[in-house]
Amino acid sequence: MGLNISGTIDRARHPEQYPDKAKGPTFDPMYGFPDGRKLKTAPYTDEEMQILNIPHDKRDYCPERHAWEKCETNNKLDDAKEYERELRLHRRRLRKEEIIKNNPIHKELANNEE
Amino acid sequence: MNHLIGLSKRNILLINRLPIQTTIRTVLNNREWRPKEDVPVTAEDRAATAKKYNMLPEDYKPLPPERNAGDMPSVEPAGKFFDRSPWEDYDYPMDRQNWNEPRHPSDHVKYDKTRVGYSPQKRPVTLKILLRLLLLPATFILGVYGLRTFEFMTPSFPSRKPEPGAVHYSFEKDDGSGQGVRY
Repeated sequence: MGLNISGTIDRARHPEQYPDKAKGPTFDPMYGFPDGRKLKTAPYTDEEMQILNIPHDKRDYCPERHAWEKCETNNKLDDAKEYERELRLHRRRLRKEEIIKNNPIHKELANNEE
Repeated sequence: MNHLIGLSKRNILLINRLPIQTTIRTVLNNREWRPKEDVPVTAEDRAATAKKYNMLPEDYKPLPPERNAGDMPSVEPAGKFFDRSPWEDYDYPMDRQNWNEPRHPSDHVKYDKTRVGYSPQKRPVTLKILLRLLLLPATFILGVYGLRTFEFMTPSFPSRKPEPGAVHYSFEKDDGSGQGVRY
């Protein structure tokens, strides 16, 4: 709880250091993954979900009834990992911009991404 | 600290109040508050002790010598809690006492075994007392709207749903090995 409160205050004072939660991941999803990443497959299409009368907040990537909890947990972990990745790439970009600002010789660093 | 909030003397009394019951204990345990051992005789001494006990000089009468009380005045019982009118403006309305009034030993009793009284234990409700009921909801509401400006630091994105145009990736590797993520 203390980490949450201090993080909230830091986010309120330095909002430029944190990614925007509403926007979602902005960097290239494959950057930094040489072996690629697997696609997430939705179990049902939109029409099938409407026909089955699934409640709106449960219309996500988790199909099975019996393995639902585990799937939900894994999805939440994925969201946290995405956020962490986004945060680290964001901070890395800020650091590079700082270096360029202080020393304009290292301009090649600005293009070393994406 | 009280003068910073702008409280009057009367409000300071009511907020920093020492309960009436503990003054009885303190009066005899605290050496500075003990009565003097000599009964005053001259008119000046009587006037000074009457001022000390917050009485008029003509009202001050010492106790008889066999009581061995020294300075202390003999006071008629002015009335217990239920014998006093609730409509007066007391300094301590919960005890129906005033600050520094000369008190008889039986006046501190609020709940007596031999009390026979059917008067209600109510006190007149003023606007100030009613406004105190609004303190808690007001702080709660202001707090909620004040804290809404902060976005709480749960370090994860909102859960992603399968939209028609969006492509979402897991952290597993794409070569069929199932590696790359450890749940």
